[in-house]
Amino acid sequence: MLSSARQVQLLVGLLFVVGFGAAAYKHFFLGFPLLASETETVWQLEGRIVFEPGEGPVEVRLNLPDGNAARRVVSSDFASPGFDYEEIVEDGVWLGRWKAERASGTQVIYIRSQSYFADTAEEAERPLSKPMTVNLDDALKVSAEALLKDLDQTVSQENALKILRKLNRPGDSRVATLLRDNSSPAKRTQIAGQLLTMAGYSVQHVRGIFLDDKARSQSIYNFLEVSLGDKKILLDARENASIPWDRVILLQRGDEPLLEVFGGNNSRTTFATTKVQRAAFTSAVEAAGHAKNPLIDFSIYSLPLSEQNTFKLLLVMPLGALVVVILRNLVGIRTSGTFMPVLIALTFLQTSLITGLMLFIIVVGVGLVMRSYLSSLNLLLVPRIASVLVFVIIIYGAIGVMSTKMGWQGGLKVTFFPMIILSWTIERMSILWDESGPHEVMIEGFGSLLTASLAYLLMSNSFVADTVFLYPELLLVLLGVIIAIGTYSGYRLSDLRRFEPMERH
Amino acid sequence: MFLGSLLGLASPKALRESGIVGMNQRNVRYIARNNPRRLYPKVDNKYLTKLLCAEHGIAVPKLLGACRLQGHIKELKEFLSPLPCFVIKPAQGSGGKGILVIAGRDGEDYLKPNGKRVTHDELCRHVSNILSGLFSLGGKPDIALIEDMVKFTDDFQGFSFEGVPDIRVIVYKGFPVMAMTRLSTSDSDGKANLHQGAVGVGIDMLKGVALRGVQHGRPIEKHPDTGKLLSTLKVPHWRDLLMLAARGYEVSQMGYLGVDIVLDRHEGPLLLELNARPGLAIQVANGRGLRPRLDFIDKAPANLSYKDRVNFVLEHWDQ
Repeated sequence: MLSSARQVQLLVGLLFVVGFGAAAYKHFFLGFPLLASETETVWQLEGRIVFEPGEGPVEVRLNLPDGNAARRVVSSDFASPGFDYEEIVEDGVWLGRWKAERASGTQVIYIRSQSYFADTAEEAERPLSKPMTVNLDDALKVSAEALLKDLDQTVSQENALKILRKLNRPGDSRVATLLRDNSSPAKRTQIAGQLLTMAGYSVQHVRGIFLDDKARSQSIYNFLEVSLGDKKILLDARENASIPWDRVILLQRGDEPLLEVFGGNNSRTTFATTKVQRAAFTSAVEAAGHAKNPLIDFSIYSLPLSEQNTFKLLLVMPLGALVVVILRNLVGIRTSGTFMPVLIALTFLQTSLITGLMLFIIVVGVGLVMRSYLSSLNLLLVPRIASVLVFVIIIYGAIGVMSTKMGWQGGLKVTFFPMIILSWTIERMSILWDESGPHEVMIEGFGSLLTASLAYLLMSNSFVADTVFLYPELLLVLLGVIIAIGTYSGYRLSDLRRFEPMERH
Repeated sequence: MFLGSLLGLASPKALRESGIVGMNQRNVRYIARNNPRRLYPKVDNKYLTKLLCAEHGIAVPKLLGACRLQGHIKELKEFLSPLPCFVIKPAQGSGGKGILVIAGRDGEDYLKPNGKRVTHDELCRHVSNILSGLFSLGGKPDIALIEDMVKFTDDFQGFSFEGVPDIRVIVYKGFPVMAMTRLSTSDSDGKANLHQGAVGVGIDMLKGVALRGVQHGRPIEKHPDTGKLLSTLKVPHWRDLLMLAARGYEVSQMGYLGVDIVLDRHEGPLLLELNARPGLAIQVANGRGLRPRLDFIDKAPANLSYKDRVNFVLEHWDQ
């Protein structure tokens, strides 16, 4: 059996590891932001497939967005009445497949997903899956070589863009030869890819959707994935520009078709993209929930929003308790009632600090005066405290009415104070006054208000409150700190003050 | 230089070197380890303490009666009428709260030691407050004890103002380790409570003579009211007093204990009460830290009789 000191050390260590570990996991692996105030962009992609079914069974296949290491899907759903849906992987290509035994009339299938990009650097580091090879006929090859001849041969983004610019310069005879039968966007991109390959780049022709806010009826764009050795960039052959990884969703990486409809005709597909700004942690929570991560699935984020707000308030309470522990056991401040300051600090959250302090002093001060009369009445304990409770209610009412008459709405906030706690505070202070005099009452009263104010300042800090809400597991760390203080046997600040005369002698 | 000294703070290093025990150390190392929770009622309830003392044949102020129910209060007048002087105290009070000392009579009224009058109604209210738990820990209903007033020895003449001085001995594992006497002053309203301004005087463990005095945490040489030199104070029956303190351990079984003793003119040392959480001001009054003595006792032989324990201390203590 371990000694209790050893157990405490182990327990505190364990709490620290688990608390910080869970928080680090959420930050680094689930993409939780450090601050709740961080926002990020979520892209909604909506695909619309329209076709005319023929007689008999129908099968529709849509190439789904390719895996992008940086892309996190927050939600996805589809609307396709009468069709069975499943997602399949065929020849390394991810497909959505809709099947129906029969269908009649024009059919419309919607598919929608929301996603955001966590870290684009990851995607830029992945190698190309199928780089293209040169397959131009001899005539075109000569033109291409001529075009590339007087260019810098080193591999860089700058030089790659120069090649594209050359290809897009009108009036050049070599360009005209190259593009004679290849003017469609896809062919043009293919030629650009050939040129880059000949210039020594590793290139892949990909197709995808350009992410643009409120873009309806988007068509498929052609892009070139170009490897620059250590990193991969995405080029638009028409615009001579490099495209950031978080502005596109790639659908086709190879030659696979985008849409296939068996048993129907006249099919077409369009895409719409919308940009949504929202709190970064919401996306992280939803992405983790989408991936059925147990840490998130069984957390307070699974509660309805209103309950989450209740917990947001509860989660800061331990911080107030920590302030009490520190002030009482490390500093040595005396308070009236152990955790009364935390409850008062909680009230300050509703009333704001200055108003709260004023109201507290008024209520307790008037309460003490009224209570001093009770001292001479010779009452039993419980009826006496009950009377103080009635006094407190009367004082609440008087403050509320008078402050409203004087045009100060702040006085109404007095009702946020916990009545029972205030009654007991008044009772305790009154007894302390009788026994030890007003000096002690001032010391305890001041200590309580100081503790409550510090607890309030910590609990009301939005950075602190948000952090605890985002990473509730940090409460385990807090528990570790409290337990560690519980075994602290060194001097309190008040000991140093109190034994100071001994040092001088 | 330690920044704290500008703020009137001692340096932790200096305190540690002189072996001062702080609040946290007292609570964690001494009280939590040596005083099991189940023993607390034995010392927190003075009625129980008295019964236990009687079992062990330890001298205590005589218990005249106890008032347990509000309904009994009306019988008080008749009960108290033959008693010229007495003390009413809550059985579960703490820190000297709720103790009413009656030293005499003036017609229907009672007189406190300082000559202030207390009417019978006021006395009844006080008892009622005791019963309803005003002075007890956590506001639990309590009983009121009526005790004989101690006829205090004359040896302390001039050292105390209007109150009964008592002697506090810290008893660690049954060994008396440090002592002080607490003298009431006009500041403390006749109460022997250091918080309220009583004078604490550290007592030499071997000879029972005064070491030095403190009031409000500051060293003083003379009693603030009577002007008597504190260094001339000598506690009589010192050895008997230490024996009595050591026996407090047998009564309570608590390893870290404060034993409060008064000296009766006729009956000698009487055990007034036991305290499971004795304060640390005794270190200031003695000008010494408790730690070296507690460490020494930790190495002392166990299972000694109280006489042997006192002898052990008297033989081995170097001051």
